[in-house]
Amino acid sequence: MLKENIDNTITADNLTIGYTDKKNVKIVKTTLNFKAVKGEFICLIGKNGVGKSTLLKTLSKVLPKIEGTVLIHNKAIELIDQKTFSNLVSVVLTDQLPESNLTVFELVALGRQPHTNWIDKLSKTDKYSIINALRITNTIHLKNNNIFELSDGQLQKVLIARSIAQDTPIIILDEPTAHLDIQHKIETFQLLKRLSKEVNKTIVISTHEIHWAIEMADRIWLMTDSDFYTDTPNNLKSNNRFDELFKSDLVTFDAKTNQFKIS
Amino acid sequence: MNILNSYKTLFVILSLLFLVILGLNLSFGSVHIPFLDIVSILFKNSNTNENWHLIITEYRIPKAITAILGGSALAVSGLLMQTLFRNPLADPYILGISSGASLGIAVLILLISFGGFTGLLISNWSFVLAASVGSFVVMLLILTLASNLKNTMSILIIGLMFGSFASAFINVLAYFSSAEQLQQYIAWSFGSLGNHSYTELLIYGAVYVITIIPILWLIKPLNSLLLGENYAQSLGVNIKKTRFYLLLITSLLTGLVTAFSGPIAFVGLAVPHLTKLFLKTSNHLILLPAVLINGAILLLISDTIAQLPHSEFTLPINAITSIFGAPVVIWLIIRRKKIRL
Repeated sequence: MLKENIDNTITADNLTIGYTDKKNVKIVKTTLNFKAVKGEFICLIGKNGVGKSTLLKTLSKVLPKIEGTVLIHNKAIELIDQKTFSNLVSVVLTDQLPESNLTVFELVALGRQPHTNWIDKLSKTDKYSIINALRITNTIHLKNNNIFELSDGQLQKVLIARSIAQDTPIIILDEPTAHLDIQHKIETFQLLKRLSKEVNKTIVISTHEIHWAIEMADRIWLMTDSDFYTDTPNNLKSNNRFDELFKSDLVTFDAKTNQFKIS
Repeated sequence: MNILNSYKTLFVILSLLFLVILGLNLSFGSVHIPFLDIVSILFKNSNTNENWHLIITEYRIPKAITAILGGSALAVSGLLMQTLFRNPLADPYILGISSGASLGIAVLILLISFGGFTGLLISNWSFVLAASVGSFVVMLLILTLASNLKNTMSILIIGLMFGSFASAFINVLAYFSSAEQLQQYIAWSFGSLGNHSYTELLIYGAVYVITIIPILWLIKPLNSLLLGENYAQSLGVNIKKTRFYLLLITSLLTGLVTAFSGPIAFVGLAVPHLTKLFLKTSNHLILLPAVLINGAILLLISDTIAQLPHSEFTLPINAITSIFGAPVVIWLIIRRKKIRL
């Protein structure tokens, strides 16, 4: 029991997520219960607008939770200050980067900020981490390129390198394969899977590549309009949970190929 | 400080350029003084010529100091605003601070006519005070509103609104003013680097230093803002606090410069761009000192041109910065094709 607790990196208990402003609360999803452990590669799937991004933003402390608890390394997320949090969770977002003169090396170096001194000086360890992250993602040859000279596939890898350089036990990625061709998609999946196993990180991604999620994820968080399932891909499959993903007559799930078909 | 090392040569060149421009600036004016005599006045204090000595120490040196402080402060403010708003069009005046200062001056000049204390109020200090109060009021409004706003871009719009509100109010004041008062206001809006005593400069310099130094602690958040606010936050940056300090520093610097020299256009917008074009880096550890030096250089050059060598006229500094600066920036952008934060 104790060991399991140590391995728990993300725990959600009766969680309600959504958006708040001064007057209104817009609830996106309620009663979410799930956990993630060290070394797990988790794919969050669900149709557009079901609340995947809202959940990931809540887990990465961009949005406050509405009710229930989220524990990161067994500590309530709202009690962790931003500085400490930056040593626990790194993110890869879908945000468009503002135009700048940043090179690939400089971008990845920004991932070291939680570790650098007050004036952002890179130590030997910092430089080693940056080079290492560039090697792992196979982008070391791009190190002096301006980030606006990169293709979408290259940029995605470099952003992942940045989160690796941040050296956190948890990495959360919002649709990291969205704009990529099939080769870069599979490369990204393999890279993330490898990271979870080799460096024992918890990796959470949201994705629409359901067949690869089934093939490669250790655990799938499946979000539908009414429910939230967390289980291994095989268990979800034998319980026919994927049929609930799109409640539409247009597509059906084919268990043989792990793909959706036009019915 | 290895990254600074790789830019060492550049900073040596910039510093030398700065000294050359400073020398040129001191050499030119309505009275011709040979360069060697200027050097001897500066370093040996020998009495070559009583009048020349007076011109250099009481007029040209204070003017050069005003140009250096004003140019560098405006340039740095521009850099901070462009990074905060992630918008290459942002400049120190975008917050409406200088409009507040202009409003302060306009009210002062109109008050003179109503109160009847002509002459008493038209000292240097009353202008500095009126402009400071004007910009301070706008600054307080901006900071109060900013702490209630989630979206940084809204601050940009609010700043622009303050600007147009103040200009409209000034128009109304101008409508009720006499020709003489109008002329006084317009003269102020031309901007001026001269006419400051060493006591005034001491206060100017002290506030300048106290405001500039804290920017060092903002280098890290500024760099992370290059990735946008969400990434910056994920790197441990407190966005609201950072935003508050950036707005506070920019308001103070802009208010300070406007109070002492009137509105000076262009420097705050152009210098950060020129610097980024030449240095090809976005690292604020490099950009910050480079922008400081370049801002000072640009305003010194503008002032040198404004002296119209060998003539008795002095052109308004506010016009010179744009007349000679804008074509240079346009040419550079067309040549390099791309402008970035």
